[in-house]
Parts: sequence; C-alpha cells; structure tokens
Amino acid sequence: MADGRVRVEPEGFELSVRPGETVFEAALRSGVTWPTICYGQVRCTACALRVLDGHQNLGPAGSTEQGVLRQITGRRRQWSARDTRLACRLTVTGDVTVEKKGAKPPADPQST
Amino acid sequence: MTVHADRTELRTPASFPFAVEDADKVPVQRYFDPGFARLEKEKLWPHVWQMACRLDEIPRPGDYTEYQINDQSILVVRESEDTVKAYFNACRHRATALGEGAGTFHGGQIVCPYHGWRWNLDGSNSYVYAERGFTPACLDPDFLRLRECQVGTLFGMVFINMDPQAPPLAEAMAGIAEALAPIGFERMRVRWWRHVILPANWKMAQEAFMEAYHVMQAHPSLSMGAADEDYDIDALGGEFECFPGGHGHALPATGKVPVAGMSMADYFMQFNNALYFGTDAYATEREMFIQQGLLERDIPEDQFPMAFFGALYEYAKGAGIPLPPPATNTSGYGHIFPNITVLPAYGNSIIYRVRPNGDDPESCVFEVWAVQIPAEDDGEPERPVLEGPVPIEEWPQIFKEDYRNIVAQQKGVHTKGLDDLVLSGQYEAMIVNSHRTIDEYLAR
Repeated sequence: MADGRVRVEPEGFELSVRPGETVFEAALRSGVTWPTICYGQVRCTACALRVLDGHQNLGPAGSTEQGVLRQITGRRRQWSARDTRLACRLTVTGDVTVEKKGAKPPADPQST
Repeated sequence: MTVHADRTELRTPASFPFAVEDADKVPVQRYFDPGFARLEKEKLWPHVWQMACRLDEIPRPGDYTEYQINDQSILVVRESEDTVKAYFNACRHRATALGEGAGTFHGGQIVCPYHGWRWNLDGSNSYVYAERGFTPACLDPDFLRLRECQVGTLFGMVFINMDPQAPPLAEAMAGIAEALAPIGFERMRVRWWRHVILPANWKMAQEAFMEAYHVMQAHPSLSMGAADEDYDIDALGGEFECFPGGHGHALPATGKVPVAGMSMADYFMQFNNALYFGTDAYATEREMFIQQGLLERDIPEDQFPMAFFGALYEYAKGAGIPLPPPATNTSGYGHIFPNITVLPAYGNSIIYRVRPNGDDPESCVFEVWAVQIPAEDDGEPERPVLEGPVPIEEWPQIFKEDYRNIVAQQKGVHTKGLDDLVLSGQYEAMIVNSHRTIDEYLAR
C-alpha cells in the first residue's frame, strides 16, 4: 500500500503518512511541529484536527478515540463530530486534506 | 555427563521458617504461608534477575510495556534500536503511574497524565510545568530522573533486576546461557501468548513443568497407554544438569523409545501429534505437514526421526527459516531461575512464566508463550498481545491435565499429617535446585 498524502491547512504543507502510521507519528517522524501535551496517549485532545476533504480515506475511529473526542465535539461549533479526529489515532488510506492550527512544517523542507 | 542437583551441600543455615533442611523434603508451608510469601517478596523478587517482557513486545524506540511483580510496577521502555531501559513506574512529583499496560511513548516523551511533567526515554526530566513554583532542590536533575532497574537481554527476553548492587545478568545466568544457546530462542517470535490465574502458589504451578516424571500418569496421550514401568522415564527427561544460579536443563534424550513394545516411528509420530493437539505449541502445523509428507515414503521404522529431521531442515532451507543446527548437549528443556521454564523443539518453543498474583500466596499468574522461528517472508510480526485469563477448561488437553493437578496439589498441602513434599533428587532435580537457590536468597 502506498503512503497517504495529508495536506495540512492553513500552513499548506504536505505530510506523507505510511500505512498503519498515525498522522501524529508521521508528523513527529517528519520533523513537523504538531500541538500536543500528552504525546500520543489519546488523552489531551490538543492534537485534534478538522477533516476538510478525503473522508473516504480515513481509517476508522476506535472507541478510545471516540470517547476522548466527545469532550470537544458538539460543545464548540467549530468541531463537528463528523469532521473531527485525533491526529494521534488517525490513519489514512489515501489523500486527505485537514486543518490544524499550530501545525508547522519543519524549518528545512528537505526533511519531510 | 550427569550432574544432579547438589543434595549434600546445603550451605544456608535455617535462619528463617520453613527453610529446606533436607534437600529431598520441601516443607508444605512454603506453598501457602503468608510469612514465607512476605519473605520472598522482601528477599527474592527485589534482588533476582527476572524476565520482564520479550524484546518483540517493544520492537521500536518509544514502545513500552508494564511489568508487575508483587506490588511493584516497572515500565520497560525501548530507548533506541539497541537499548532498553526499565523505570519504576511513578512520577517524581506525586507518584502517578506514568504508563499502563503496553503502548508507545511518542516523540520520545514519557508524560505524566496528572500535571504534565515529562521525561526523555533515557529517564532524564525534560519538562516541569510552571517550575517557578518549586524550590531548586525539587528541580535538581538527578532528583527528577526516573528511578531505574538494571536491564539485560537473553534469549529474546528482557530481564530486570531492581537491586542496583546485584551482579550483572551474564553472571546470574552462568551455565544456563551457554547450555541453551544452541536452541536459538532469540530467533523465535510469538505465535500466541495466553494466561490463566491458577489457585496455587507460584512455585507449585511452575514445578508441574519442571520435571517429566509426571508424564507416565498425568498425560495419557504422551505415555500412549504404557502402564507403570512400561513407560521408561529414563528415556526422556531422566537426566538433568543443574547450575548454582538455580537454573537447570534436561540432557538429550537417550534415543530409546520410552514406551515398551512401540516402534520408534510410531512413538515419534504419536508424540508429535499429541503435543500438536494437546498444546498447539511444541509441535505446530509446520511439523505436522512435514510428518505427513514422510508417511508416503518407505522409511525403516528406526530411521524415522532422522528422516523427519532431514525433511525439516530441507523445508526450513526452502522457506528461509533460520533453524539452528540440532543441539547435541541439551534437550533444550530447561528452567531459568526463578520463574521461566522452556520446552523447545524444531525451532519452536513453549515458554512458561509464573508470578505470584499480588500478595496472595495461593494465587498465581501463569503465562504461556508459543514461539517459533518465522519464515523469511512472514514479515515483521505485530506486537504480541496477552490473551486471557483463559479458564482452565478452555485450554488444550495437556495444559488442562497439568492445571488440574496443580489445583489438586494446592488442596493437598493443607491437609493434616503432611509436613513435606518429597522430591526425587534425579527426576525432580530442577525443583530441588530451585528451592535450594530460593533459600540462598531468603537467607541473605
């Protein structure tokens, strides 16, 4: 299976995500800055992203992720349950476009 | 060479209750007395090298798994491709356990879920939230470091020792490391990993697997109808070599058929079949396939095992299975003190680990791994996941037979008029040696 390409707005950079890898793991591997305070333990919700396009290429959300997501979806209008995922649990099977404020590409673009 | 457990030299004076004074006799209280269990908790477990996990449970940097023994929780962490660390599982701030079960510390950060303090995988602190609120002494880097255990690896397993003064793993494993090296345990990967909670002392449970003397009576599928002396214990699992560290192994089988009147070919095949159906571990589909292929060939009865091994190595070569050459000085069946027992064959192995279940002297966590050297194209295996607890009645036949006897023994040790268990210095040498070594720890 080929890597999925995730386009991250509003910075507008691309992230290559390996099969089975999470978006958060791919970000760390690529030197991308991605907000978190729990470092991938599915606890803090700081890594949550909004899916703008490519919903058909999203890996399924497990019960742990759904449980944590309930803390932020619904209450705030900008986080619709349909479009919100945790980067630390999100896998992709193809191209996806997401929005994540605070996500920044590496200083050296070669390292992606 | 035959080396039995040393029965004459009991160096430890009886400085504590229920010490073994006559090597052939084990006081029953060692299997249920809360004081004896407390002594093990204080003198044995915090000072002995013990297997905390398999290396393949933490394949990548950042992967961790939690190891629990008595009331201690230890995080075993893959620090880099070739280094592993073990930390007492507590935040240096207010003791919160930093990890549970198994998982991955992403971004190289171990994060406390309570107030967000963080550590690097090498145990150094990387972040204290609002540190201006703490005195400099509280922020001293050495004070903030996670507390560690000693770590060593052997046979694809990670061993830890909580005692910083304990001699290194290589010293503790002297004898057994060399004896079992030809088996190739480090090449094996997990096929399945299950556990059962047994209502018995941890030693009682593991001792059911530390001798082959019970095969005649306890496992009809392995004694194949041979009654009493018609099953020759001396043919298979009758001679052990024991080491000072508490370890031991069974010397190679004699090549004789243990079942009177049975041909080598029939015995060999029935033995494999019984273990395939009775354990799904020692023999697997791979060996059943090879054995089936041989039935269509005309092989003299006594040459069947040789033909089997010939076909096995040929198959392994074709499939890219890196089988080590046959071991000549060990059967492979062995015990790694204090609580690992291995039963390998054909590039496979059953591995047992038994731990006390918390502080209860009459409950234990009994784990079984079925491992196998994978073929080249099997790809990178998933991290193994522990199944269970699986109730006794749902295990394959041979395990069930052993578990039932363990439960019955634990019942028996409480009965009046029974002061000691009796051991054969020859057939139960690994058990004798294990108790002797336990007492060395308890006497310290």
